[in-house]
Amino acid sequence: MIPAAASPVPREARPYQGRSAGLVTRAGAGVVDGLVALVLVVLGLVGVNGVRFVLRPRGFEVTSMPAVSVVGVFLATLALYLAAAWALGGRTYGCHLMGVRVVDHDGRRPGALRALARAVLYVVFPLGLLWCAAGRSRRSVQDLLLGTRVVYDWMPHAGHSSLGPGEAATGTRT
Amino acid sequence: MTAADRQSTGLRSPSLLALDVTVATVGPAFRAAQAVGRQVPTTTRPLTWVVRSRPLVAIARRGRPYRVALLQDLDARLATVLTTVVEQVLRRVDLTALVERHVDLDRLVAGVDLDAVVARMDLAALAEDVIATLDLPEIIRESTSAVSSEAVREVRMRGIAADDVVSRAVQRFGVRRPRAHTSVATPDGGPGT
Repeated sequence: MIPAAASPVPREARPYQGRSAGLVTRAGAGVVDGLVALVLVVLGLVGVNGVRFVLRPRGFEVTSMPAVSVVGVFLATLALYLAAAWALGGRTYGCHLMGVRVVDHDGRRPGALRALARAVLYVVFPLGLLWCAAGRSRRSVQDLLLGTRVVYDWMPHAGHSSLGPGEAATGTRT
Repeated sequence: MTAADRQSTGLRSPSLLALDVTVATVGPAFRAAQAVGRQVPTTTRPLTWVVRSRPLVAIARRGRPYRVALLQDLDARLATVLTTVVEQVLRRVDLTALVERHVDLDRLVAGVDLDAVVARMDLAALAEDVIATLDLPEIIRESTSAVSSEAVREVRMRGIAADDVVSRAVQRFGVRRPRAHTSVATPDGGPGT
C-alpha cells in the first residue's frame, strides 16, 4: 500500500478513489473501447488482405464483406477485447484512460467467465449501462446481474491500488 | 659575626634570613590570635543571649519579609544586569570564531551517541515533511506514464464532475434516492448530496 502522501493520484482525485463511477465516465470509457475495437477490426481486415496479397498477388482483390458481417466481426472483436482486458487487468484501455476499474463483489478483478459474460451482455445490450445513472448504487444492469462494480481507480496497476476489497465492495472509501 | 658564627647559626643566605625574621614575627602573633579566638565564645555569650531574647526575635520576625523582598528585588536586578552584560559581551564576541579556534569539533562529535539521537527522532514525520517539501507525488506522477498526462487528468476530473452532475440531476427528478455509501462528494472533498 502506498502512503497517501506519496500516492501518484492527485490530491483532488483522492477522495473519489474506490467510489462507484458514474454514467459519463463509463460511457466515455465505452466510446474509447468501441474505437479500439474498430481499430482492431480495421487492422485485422488490413492484415487479412495483406496476407492474401502476399500469397496470391495475381488477381488480388480487396475482401468485400457484407455490412452485417462487418458489424458481427466488430461486435465479436469488441466482446473478446472487453473480456480479455477485464479478466487480465480489470480495465480496458478506455477504463485506463478514464481512470476506472471493474471489480467483483470482493474488490478483485473479475474472473474470466464473469468478464466474458459481462462483455457479451454489454455488446448485446449496451443500454444497460444507463441504469448506472438511475440505479441506486451506480450499477449497470450488467453489474447487477454479475455482481460487479466499476470504481474510480487512478492507480496504474491493480497491485498498487490502495483500495481494500471491503472498501471497493461497499464504496465507503473516502 | 665571623664566618664560623654564620655557619653555626645557619644564616648563610639573605632569603633564609628574611624568612626566619618573618616566622619569628608572625608566629607569636598567630598564637595570640588563637588565644583570643578561644576566648570569643566566652566573651560573646552574653551577646548571644541578648540576640536570642524574645523582643529581638519579634523584631526579627517583622524584618524577615523585608529581607526576603529585598533579596528578591536584588535577585531581579542582578538578573537584569547580568542578562544585559552577557548580551553585550556576546554581541561583541564572535562565538563561532572562538569555538572554531578553540574547540575540536571532530572530537566533540565523535563522542556524540548518534544512534540515541536518531532513536529519539520521529523519522516517519520527518519523511512526511520531506515528501511534502519535495512534492514527491508530483514527481511520481510525472514518472508514471499512466497518469502523467495533464490532459488525461483533466479528462478524468471532468468525467467525475459530470458523473456527479448526472447523479444530482437524477436525484432531483426523483428517479432514485441517495444511499449513504454511494453519496457523491463534491470536488473539493466535502460531502455532496
